[in-house]
Amino acid sequence: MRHNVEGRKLKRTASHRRALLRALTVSLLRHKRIRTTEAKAKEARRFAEAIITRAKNAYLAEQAGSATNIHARRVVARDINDAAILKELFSEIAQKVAGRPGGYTRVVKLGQRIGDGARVAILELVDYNTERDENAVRSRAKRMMSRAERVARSRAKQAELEAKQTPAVAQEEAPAEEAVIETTAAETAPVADAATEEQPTTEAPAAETAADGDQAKG
Amino acid sequence: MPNPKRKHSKSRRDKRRTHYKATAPAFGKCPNCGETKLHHTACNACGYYNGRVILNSTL
Ligand SMILES: [Zn+2]
Repeated sequence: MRHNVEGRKLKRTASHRRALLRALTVSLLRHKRIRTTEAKAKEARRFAEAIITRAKNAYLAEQAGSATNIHARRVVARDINDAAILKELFSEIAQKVAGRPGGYTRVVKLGQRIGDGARVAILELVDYNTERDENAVRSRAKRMMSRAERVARSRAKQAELEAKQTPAVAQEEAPAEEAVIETTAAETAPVADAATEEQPTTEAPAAETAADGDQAKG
Repeated sequence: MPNPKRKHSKSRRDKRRTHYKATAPAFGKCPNCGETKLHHTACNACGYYNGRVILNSTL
């Protein structure tokens, strides 16, 4: 029985699997970022992390003054069949990951591929793919908010909006151009804000607002 | 070895299968562009995941 045996077989024999993981790892170290199936990415991650750790430890020892660790290079060279990549791994890459206690790689899922429906992912070296846009992330405060809190917040925002809107609609006949310009500016900013942040809850109140506006006119 | 005495009718077979149901995947909204997307997956519309551009022309 194969209970609790770790790792995926990837429908390959042991030697075929080893060759695949080596090839994926060399590609990862060469390009810093590769696209493959989710299963292969996760297996290659296990395989590559161990190799990078060995290179990192050798690098750190050498920086601390010990002799060049030829043994570590030979062990790693069994899997990394490329002299240039091997050299880079024990110098630049090792230096970049030196401060990291493992976790040198990142897998990001991309969804299913058209042709065979396989789940695809990106496997990348964390220290070579660092740019990040904080504006494109949901803030921690918001993530921690419960659904009830989010709904309450969005309702409050909506009520505030309506309060601003109703007098403007009533005075529609008045010739005050400035007032109209002001309200449109005030409207657009919070609406855009709400639309990007609270999609599910804004729809219903927005419809209500439209209905209210009609009533006020008629 | 004991064996089934009778073949199951189409009706019995089909009644058994009434409980086989497909479930729709759970979708979420992309925090960057607001598109509907799968959870824990990069956005197909803008290519972002967790603040990073994941999909670009090279990959
Ligand atoms: Zn998006």
